[in-house]
Amino acid sequence: MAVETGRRGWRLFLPVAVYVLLYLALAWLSYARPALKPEITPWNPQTGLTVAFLLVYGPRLWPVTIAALLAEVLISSSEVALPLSVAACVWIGVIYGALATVLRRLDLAGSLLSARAAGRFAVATVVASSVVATGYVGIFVAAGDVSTADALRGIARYSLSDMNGILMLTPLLVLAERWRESFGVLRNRWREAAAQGASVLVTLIVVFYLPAADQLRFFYLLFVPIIWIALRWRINGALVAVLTIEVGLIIAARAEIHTPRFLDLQVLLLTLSLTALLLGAVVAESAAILHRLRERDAELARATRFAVAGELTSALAHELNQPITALVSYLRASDILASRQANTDPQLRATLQKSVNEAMRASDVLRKLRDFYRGGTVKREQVDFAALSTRVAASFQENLRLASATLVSTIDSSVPPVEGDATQLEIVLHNLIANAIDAVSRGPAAHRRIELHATRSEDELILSVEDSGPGIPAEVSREIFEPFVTTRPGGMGLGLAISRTLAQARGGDLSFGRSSTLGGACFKLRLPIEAP
Amino acid sequence: MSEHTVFLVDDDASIRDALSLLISLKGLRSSVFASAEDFLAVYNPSWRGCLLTDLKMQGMSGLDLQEALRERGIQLPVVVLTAHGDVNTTRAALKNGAVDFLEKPVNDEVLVDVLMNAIRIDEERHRTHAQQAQTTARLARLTTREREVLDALADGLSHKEIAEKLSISARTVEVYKARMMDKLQCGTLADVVRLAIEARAATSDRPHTGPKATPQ
Repeated sequence: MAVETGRRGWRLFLPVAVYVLLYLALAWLSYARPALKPEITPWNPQTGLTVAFLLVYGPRLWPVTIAALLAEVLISSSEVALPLSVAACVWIGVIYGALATVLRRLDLAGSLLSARAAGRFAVATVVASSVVATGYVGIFVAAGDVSTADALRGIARYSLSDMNGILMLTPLLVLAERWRESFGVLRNRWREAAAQGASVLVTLIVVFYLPAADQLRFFYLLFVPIIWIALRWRINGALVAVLTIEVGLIIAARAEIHTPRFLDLQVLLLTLSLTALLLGAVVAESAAILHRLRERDAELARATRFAVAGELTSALAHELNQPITALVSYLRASDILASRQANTDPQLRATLQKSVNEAMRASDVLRKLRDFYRGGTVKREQVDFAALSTRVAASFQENLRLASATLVSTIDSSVPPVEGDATQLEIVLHNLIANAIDAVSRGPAAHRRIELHATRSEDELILSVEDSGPGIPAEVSREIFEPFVTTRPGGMGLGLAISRTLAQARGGDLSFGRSSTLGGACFKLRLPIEAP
Repeated sequence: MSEHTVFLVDDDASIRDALSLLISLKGLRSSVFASAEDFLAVYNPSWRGCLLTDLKMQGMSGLDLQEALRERGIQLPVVVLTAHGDVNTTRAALKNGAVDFLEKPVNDEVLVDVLMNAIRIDEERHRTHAQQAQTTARLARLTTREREVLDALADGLSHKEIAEKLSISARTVEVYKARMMDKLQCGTLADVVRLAIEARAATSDRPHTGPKATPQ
């Protein structure tokens, strides 16, 4: 146990050392325009580093952050009494340790990829830095180092600089793993990135150096590149841009460029950070949803193509195998007839045999083709029918609206998840509902109704799709499941054939009848439920 | 063998023509039908041989035909023609009592083997039926007492035990036995016992086989 702890201690030594050094470097770099007697600088990127460090390596390392804070105090020639500084450092370390714990509990550490997560992260950060600032300033007020008149300004200044540091730097550092990915993309889109960088630079110059831009009148221009970058590069890119702006501001502050009150700047910067964070998260979230939807669509399309090809091949194989069977039999008969003749050319019988072989080969090709599509990968997974039918129904919203039809689904609570290939079952359901919409569209517009009902009957799951359409015409009812049989002018006549093949492959069946309640067709899909 | 016919049911005219030609060249008689309905319409119980039917047909399918045959008590052995890979249908056909199946395109040597085997099954079934009919006819000539003695002998009882059971003398048992053996045209006791057991099997087997079933 001791050895283990020792090893772990060594493994942590490097990150801790790097953290402390980076912390001091950031503190020194961002040191500008201290205010009040315990120095409160307007930029605290080092706080962002601290929170990221605690998130990645665990909040239990909070004493390390206190050490870093103390080192900073000792290096800067502070005029404050040491015990007060120590108390302030401990306070800061404890509160940020608590913030890291909360962020980890809410699972916000690694995934700021939804607007909800980004919002929670921002709120927790605002609360924590306000508490830290209040306590910090409070300690010095109690000791008499800060007057009560200055306290509020101190709290605002301190909390804003910490908020900025955390909101800007922490997500960037926590999402560091994605940097490599981002750099890869950057190589392909460097022109765009360069244009965006230039736009940030130009805006900074306009905002800070233009004589006409007195008192940061044009600060809001900075939102344009930030929004552009956030939309294109999501959180990481947007935060990098905000960081660039912050660096620009630090340089501006050091260069003693004429600027208005720093509090105003801080608030504006905070707004920029929040915009970048939330907009980036929303963009990332919608991109992820779009990606999932596209993948799902692609999978469905692939499975449908496979099923269509399978059904076509199967029908083709059957139709061609009939004449081949006759051909082979005729050839064998010819061979027997030839063998009965007294003076047949020996080549004739050999030629007839070769013909038989070729016909057999043709049949074999069809067989292999058919086996290829039949043997397609069938996944075995737990399929939740309620979720599946909701998804399929959702994908038909637009079609239902255009057909002014209503789809009502009732899924009994007794319906258990069944084992099967979700994509294949989705194709079946998709076909049945598409047919139903087509059927009701041929009826009067007043009551175009489709009912989807799933229920359990002993060891079977029964799913029925009923419609108020005209029903299946008697002349096609016998062969409705055969390929190329359709009642639709533009239809291929494969949907039901495929659906039945898929249902049967799963050990179930698909049948149809007349709907007793709606008067149209009623298709019933039966699937056996395996005993658990 | 000439009295045996292969009854071929297939909705594809070319296949009917080609297979019947091949079958006839192989020395078997064949008779073709374009649909299961056609076959059932003209079926005659005196037909011997086997039925070779396609599974996938317009109208009644091969499986439907098997169902109809069973309903009518037609015992003609059935061989089904299947497309490759129709595992489910083929399994269903075999479960329904098909004696064999042939995949299209058909290898003519396999075809002849399978058909001959089906015909042999039909012959055997027929021979058994004829024997059973004969046995039944002979047994019908026995008097009640003679029949009782026969049953007791089949159960393995001794003359003495039979005498006790039927409350007659052992000599009378001997007389009944001699008369019964004479009527059944059996030389040995073993033959008699075999006949009795066959008779029992015939009455307990296939209660719904139509004309051959013998109500006791």
